[in-house]
Amino acid sequence: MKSTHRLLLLPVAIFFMAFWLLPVSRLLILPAEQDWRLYFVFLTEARYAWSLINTLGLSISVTLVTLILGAAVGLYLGRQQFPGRQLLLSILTLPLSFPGVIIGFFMILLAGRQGLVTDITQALGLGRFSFAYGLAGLFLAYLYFSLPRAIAAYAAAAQSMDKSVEEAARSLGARRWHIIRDVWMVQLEPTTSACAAIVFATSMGAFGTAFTLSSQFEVLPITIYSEFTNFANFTLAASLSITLGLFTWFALFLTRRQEIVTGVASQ
Amino acid sequence: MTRRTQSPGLALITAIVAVFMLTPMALSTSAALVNNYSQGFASGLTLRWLEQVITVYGQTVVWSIAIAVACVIGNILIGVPAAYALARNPSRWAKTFEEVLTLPVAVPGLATGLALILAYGTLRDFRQSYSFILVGHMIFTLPFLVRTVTAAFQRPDLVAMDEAAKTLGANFRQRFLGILVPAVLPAIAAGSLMVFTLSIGEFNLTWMLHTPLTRTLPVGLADSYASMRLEVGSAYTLVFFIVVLPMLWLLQWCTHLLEKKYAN
Amino acid sequence: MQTSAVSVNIQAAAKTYADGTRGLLPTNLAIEPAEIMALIGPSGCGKTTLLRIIAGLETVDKGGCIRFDDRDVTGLPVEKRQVGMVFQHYALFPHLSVAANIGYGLKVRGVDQTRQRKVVGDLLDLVRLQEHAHKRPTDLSGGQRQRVALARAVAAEPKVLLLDEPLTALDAKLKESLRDELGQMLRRLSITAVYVTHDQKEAMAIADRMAVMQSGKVVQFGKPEALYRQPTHPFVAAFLGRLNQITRSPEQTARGELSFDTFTMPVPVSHGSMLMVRPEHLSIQPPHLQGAPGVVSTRVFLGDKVQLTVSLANQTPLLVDCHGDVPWQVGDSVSIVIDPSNLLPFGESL
Repeated sequence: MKSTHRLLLLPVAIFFMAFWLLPVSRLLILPAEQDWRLYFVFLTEARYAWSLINTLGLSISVTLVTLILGAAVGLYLGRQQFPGRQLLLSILTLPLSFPGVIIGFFMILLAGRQGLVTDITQALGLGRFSFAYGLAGLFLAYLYFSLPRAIAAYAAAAQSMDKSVEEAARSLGARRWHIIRDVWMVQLEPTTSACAAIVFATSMGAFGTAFTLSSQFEVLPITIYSEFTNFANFTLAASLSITLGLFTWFALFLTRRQEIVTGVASQ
Repeated sequence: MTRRTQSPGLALITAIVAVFMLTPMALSTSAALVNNYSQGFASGLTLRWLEQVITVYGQTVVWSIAIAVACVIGNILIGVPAAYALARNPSRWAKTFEEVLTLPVAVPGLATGLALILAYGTLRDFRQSYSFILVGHMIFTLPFLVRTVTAAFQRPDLVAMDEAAKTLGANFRQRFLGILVPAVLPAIAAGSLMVFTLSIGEFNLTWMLHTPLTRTLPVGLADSYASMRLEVGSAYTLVFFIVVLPMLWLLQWCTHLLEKKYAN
Repeated sequence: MQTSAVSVNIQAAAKTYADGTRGLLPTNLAIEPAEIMALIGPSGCGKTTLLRIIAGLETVDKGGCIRFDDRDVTGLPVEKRQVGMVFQHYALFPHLSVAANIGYGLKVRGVDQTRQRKVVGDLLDLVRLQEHAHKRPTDLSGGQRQRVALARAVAAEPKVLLLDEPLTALDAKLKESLRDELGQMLRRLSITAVYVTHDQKEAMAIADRMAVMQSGKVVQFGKPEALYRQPTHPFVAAFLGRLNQITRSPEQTARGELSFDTFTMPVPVSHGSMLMVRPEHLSIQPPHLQGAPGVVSTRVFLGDKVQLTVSLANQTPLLVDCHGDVPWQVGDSVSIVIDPSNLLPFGESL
């Protein structure tokens, strides 16, 4: 590499090394300084194992539902033309800029103790049904911040879909279902992989939303946080962070492998 | 695209999702402006919650914007030259470098926060300043800028322009500042927009790094949701909308303009 | 624009890429001052590689030497070589005006403003873009951009002008008119130029001499007309124009003649058993006159000429170019006349 180029990379390299690479490496070996078995605490302690399983389960289900709903809405808005379409699309993708805490708050407004839905169920005579602080509330909150990403991705993909392939299929007599299966899903594969990866990763690492809801459903980021603040247990927090990071990275790795195998270029 | 087939099923799903997404926004806006949430509009409209928010949390808004701006500037200064070097060296080594830069995005913000505290927690002045938070934000948002700008530098028409400038006798400084950077301005703008958006809304990392004297807007929000009335929390959320969203739209519009101007 | 032109001398220039592919085999080429030398060949033949080596945009393998007049420039980076280059897609600077683009080479060298303005003004006149001086490249048409690229390349009085397929990005009609204009401009500038193209017509029209390349080496070089009429290699013959291939049996070869069924003509033994002749060197006569008998199988009308395919007994069909007004139609019986002096003398097949 030319010396000028090396010089150009120097500031980034120094900054990154000082403020991420070295600190994180230190974090990585922290459990080992005490006891290498601490790395597997997510298997050995029930509380942590459940936290991990909860987080995985929540993230996977949120990803699946987001993909289906997001694709439906994104494709609809990407392909239809009606007045206010652009406005609707902008509003639906607005939450991309919201911090997770706001979305937790939204759930409280919707279904917390004074929530709208709670008032509605009371008015319908079903008693005050407030679900914001349990799994249902958390799930809906996670859905709330994941959908915009999927909608934006699918809307963009819908607009750049090759219409000629669909028209060729229709001229050959393909029905609606065939089009969805053979044309749309094939063309949307890269979008789906990329979207699934990012939605999953965001859900796994999401902290602010669960924090605001003080959710009864414990997810791993919350566990990590409480270990650190409540028990000043740096080592345990480090071990669990590594676990969380590895699982997230592995899932992303799988989707990238899948793209290579199917010959699809990742963006 | 000429005629469209009607999809009533998709339309219904879209409608339900739209209601789901829009209702809370409307709720929080109205909650911010009424005297008493449980009584609703019957209790009358007021601005006092907004006033309270500005008094108690006004600083957080200013600091969040300042950090976001500093984040953008800092990342441009170190990231754009690096993007050029990466674009001109498509070796395995360079690809690994780019992958490593992206790690802070894959790793949960909590972990990065922990790592920074572990490494620098003892440097009191640094630890208790806004620079500590700024550093975290820069690390987290850098890959977005670098990726976007590297891709732009790799475009074949940019390679050709670089070579053309070389044949005309320009040295590196003249080429980089006079030709290349102006040519990738749209990409820098798009990347900066991402950096700004991410920085303003960043919570996971910032919550770990903050102190009571160095709070950003999302950190303040969390505080108000936990300790204040619903109406105050809503008012604070409304402040977020009013201040941040127009800024984002403005930046988006500038980016869009730049892209049009440079469309080849 | 009057500086004395330089000669370009290339010796043992080769290029091996990092992955081992040989883009260019050791090549020697001597270009006269103010000459327009065309490098022509199919894609992958190494013509662009050679051009970029002359420019300094690629480093030549060890042992290669590039000289401008007596000066060895092999070790010089492109910024110091004083070459002007016109790129295939022009590579204009989108944020600078036409005038600023043209003057860029002067600005970068610190030439004073008055002189800059004069040179840019002269060039704008030369390429006839005076009214567009303050426009951005995105506002110009393809042909106009090409002219800006040329003006920009010559503004700083380069020693050598290098053109990388400058007309390829244009549509067919524009190509032809610009081709002639470009040739005139190059001669007026009286500068040594190297012109890369895959279009043989373009090369033959513009170049003083051409080098036909294949798979990394120069197969033949010389004046266009000489290469066309006396190709020393079947590849050159086939690349520069269309070619018919006629086979004769060993007995015929030994006897020094070529037979088509009823008609025999003398062809020297030295021509071998595989004969080649261009379509425009065959002529067609009514069937009762002397010639190889055949039947017209296809007829393609191209306006100014007609291309006929004539099937013969025991031979591959022959392509014949005729003037547009000939009366022959599909199915007509005809006689083909071949002048032995027009046969291209290769002993082996392509």
